[in-house]
Amino acid sequence: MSGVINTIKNLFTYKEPVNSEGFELLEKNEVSDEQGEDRGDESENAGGEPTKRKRGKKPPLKVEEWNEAKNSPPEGILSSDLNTNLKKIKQEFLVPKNSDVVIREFKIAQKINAFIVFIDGMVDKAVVNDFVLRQLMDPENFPDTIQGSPVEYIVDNVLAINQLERVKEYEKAVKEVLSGLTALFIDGCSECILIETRGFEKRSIEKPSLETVIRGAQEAFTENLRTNITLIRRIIKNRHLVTEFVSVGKTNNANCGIMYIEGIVNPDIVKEVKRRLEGIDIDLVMGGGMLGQLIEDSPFALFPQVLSTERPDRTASLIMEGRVALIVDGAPFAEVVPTTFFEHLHTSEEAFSVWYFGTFLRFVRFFGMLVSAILPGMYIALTTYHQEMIPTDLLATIALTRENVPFPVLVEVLIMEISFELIREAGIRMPTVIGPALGIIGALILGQAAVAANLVSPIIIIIIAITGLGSFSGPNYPLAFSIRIIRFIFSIFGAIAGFYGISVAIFIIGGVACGIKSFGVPYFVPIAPRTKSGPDIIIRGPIWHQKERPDYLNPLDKKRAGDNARGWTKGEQKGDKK
Amino acid sequence: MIQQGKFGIHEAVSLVTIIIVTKVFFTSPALLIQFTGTANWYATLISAGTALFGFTFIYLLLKDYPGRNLIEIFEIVLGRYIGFIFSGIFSLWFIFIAAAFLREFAEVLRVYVLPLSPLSFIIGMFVFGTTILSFMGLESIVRFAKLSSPVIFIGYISVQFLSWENYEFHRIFPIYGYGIKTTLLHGIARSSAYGEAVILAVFAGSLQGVQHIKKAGYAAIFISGLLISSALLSFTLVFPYTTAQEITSLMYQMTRLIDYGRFVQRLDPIFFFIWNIGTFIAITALFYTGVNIYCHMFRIQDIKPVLIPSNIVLFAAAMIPKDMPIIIMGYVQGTRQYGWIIYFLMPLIVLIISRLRKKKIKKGAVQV
Repeated sequence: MSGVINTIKNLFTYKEPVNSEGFELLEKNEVSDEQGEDRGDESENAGGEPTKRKRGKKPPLKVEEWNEAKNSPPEGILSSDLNTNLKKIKQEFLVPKNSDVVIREFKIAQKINAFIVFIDGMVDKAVVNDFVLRQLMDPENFPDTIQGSPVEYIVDNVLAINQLERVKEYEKAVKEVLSGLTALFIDGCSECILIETRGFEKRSIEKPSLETVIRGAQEAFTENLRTNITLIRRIIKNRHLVTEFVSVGKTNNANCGIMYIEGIVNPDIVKEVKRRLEGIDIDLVMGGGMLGQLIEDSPFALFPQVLSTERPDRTASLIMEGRVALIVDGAPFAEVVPTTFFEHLHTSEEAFSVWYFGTFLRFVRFFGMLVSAILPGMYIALTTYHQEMIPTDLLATIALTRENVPFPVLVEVLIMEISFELIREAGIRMPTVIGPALGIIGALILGQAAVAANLVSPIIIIIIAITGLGSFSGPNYPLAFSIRIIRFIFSIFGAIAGFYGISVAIFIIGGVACGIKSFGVPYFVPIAPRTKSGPDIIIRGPIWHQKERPDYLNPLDKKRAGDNARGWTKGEQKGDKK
Repeated sequence: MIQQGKFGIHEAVSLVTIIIVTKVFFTSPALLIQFTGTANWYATLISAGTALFGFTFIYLLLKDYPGRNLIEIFEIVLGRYIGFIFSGIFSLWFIFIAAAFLREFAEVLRVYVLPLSPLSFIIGMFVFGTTILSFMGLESIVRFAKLSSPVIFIGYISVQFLSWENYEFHRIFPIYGYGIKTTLLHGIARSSAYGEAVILAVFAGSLQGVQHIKKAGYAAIFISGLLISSALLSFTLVFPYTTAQEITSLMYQMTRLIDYGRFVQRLDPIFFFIWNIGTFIAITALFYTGVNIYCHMFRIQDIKPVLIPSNIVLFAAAMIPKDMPIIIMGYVQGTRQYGWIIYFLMPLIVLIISRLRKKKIKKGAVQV
């Protein structure tokens, strides 16, 4: 209640506008560079905790403490003393309380003390046993005296592992161990070796469950980041395809891959994506949907501003246009930015179909979503306020079927809508075995029984059924959510003031949607505002006509095809001899 | 400086065209037919031509002060105080026409669609929408105008096309209406129907340079002229001009007459949505322009705190007129007949003063 009062109070009291840093994708790089520098300065400390210096007198140090402090390395840097490192590692991983962490102490070549640390279940034990411990403990792999650093010798001559990294900071070592690497610490060395031993259980690549297509690829992302990146790399075999890793989530430190094509993507977009990711100050970030909420421009708007897809081919095609894909470890979805409203209506199916069929599919889908959003509201408006607009025969039928129904139309619609939402939700949560039973309950109880009991009219059943079909035709799950909410808004406005109310709702929702931006790109571009674009907005034009990348992304390389994409139609090819 | 956002030529043309053309849905066509008879459809073309001529002065004024909007130019040329008065007149004018337009819309809506709803409810709902869109800012309004313009255009044209069966071509005669002189005089006087193109000069900072404003202004007036003329021609062909003078909303009435069998008739819903959404865009844009000028006048950097009070003022102003005849014969007729003084004459005065001053400065420089 106090929250509502505060909200109302804030409407009428003046507050200094919050100086939120907007991002705009500008044509001129100079301007954005300046902005970027400014932002960089400010965002350097993003997410960092404010450091407070405690004032007051410090007690004098003892001699031993003084010596220890003098000889110890700077904070966060590995010590050359193995015991110090072991103590620190145990402290970092809360050993022995934390039983997942394995610390194996041993002697290298029966001489040098060392230990490895890894997380049980995150590593391939066969690799650890056969290619790390066996190699290191075997004296035959080592000469009597090692020239230089043992770390260097081991990296160069002993460990037959494809990826090794030498690090000097505890933080980096701990982070990598948490993601499945094994760290080797050697006595007398102030650096450790990170050994690639990842080998946790993962789901195999399966068919897409949300974005199924008939003629396209039948692969979907899995929860494994490396697998997902590989799936994209298999499609885009380009040396300029860059993958950068950023850690998101203060506590869970999830790996997030940022993928883009250097030379195509506008660097400002990449910079902005990194800025937002680095600015996330929350303990846990999982999967795509969560990340999307944290980085989108207008989180309170009804529409998704980050495109979520489970298809590697779709992600690849969007990256090729000059967008950035974000893949979080543990999520079978890629988040693509920037995005527009129209991309949420597209599917991979159209790309694999001939242009006219692709266009037809889009029209069907667009119509379905429109019907899903507006039909119940329109029905309420028509039957409540504008009966004169209904043809007489139809009006008679409606009146006849509603004769014994004791509720107003709005209540009828809401009963059915809420029931339908319940069935849908129950269908998702229920075990698949009980699925058919749910269908029977839905059809019988909500269909026949509700009509027989005169709770709702048969026409409402038809309306809700068509609405449901329309909502299922939406290819994008987050957008389908938005449509579900919008449907209720239209229903209520339709009940309040008929078509006039629906017009008000269209105006408000449309206006708000027009104000949304996704990473500096207006939501309804290339129509509002109008920019240059290939024939792939609502009409899916022929592939060979899509010669340029979307202008609104300001890609560095605008051209995606030659003047004649179907070069063989030129007739006589160059070099042909009669 | 208020952050207004940016928009391009297409959006600007869409916005101004919608603002101008929306008048066709209400009582203005009946008034025009009353004054010009069957010559109404080309009388409006004369109005559009006059408006193009008037807009040229505004363009010339903006050209002399690149990078400045009309309100800033008022202050530069006329000084802080007289400029303030000129800006104040503009601000009040836009809020006034928004309120008059809103009341006219509410009255027509009551006549045809919601006869039992109180005016305060209709106007209140409208203002609710206007408030939210005003908060979203100019960019949102303009983009929504651009987004909905194809739908509005298709609906607009389809209503005229589907009315084909009701066209009686003999109704176009007498082609000169009440005489060439009357047509010409009323055509010139009613140029204010296209005067809303001035908002491009108010938001000059949002468009990319004077050339863009010129293109957008000319294109918007030209397209609006053609669209309004085509609608008026349709009305003339469907209704005898004596009857047309009596009808509150000719467009709505014409839509009601469409009948292609049992199930293709009464296409009011098509018209209803384009009518409503077009009006929403028009009134919100006019109102936002008025408030924006007000903020410029008083050096208010952030427009948001002013919006809710201004919307309450809009609501109150729309509720003031006693009844529909006062709205139609007083407000609407007055704004159409004398609006050119504000839209075109005031910028022309400023242009003349500006040029005279520049000449003086040049002369002085030569003498020195």
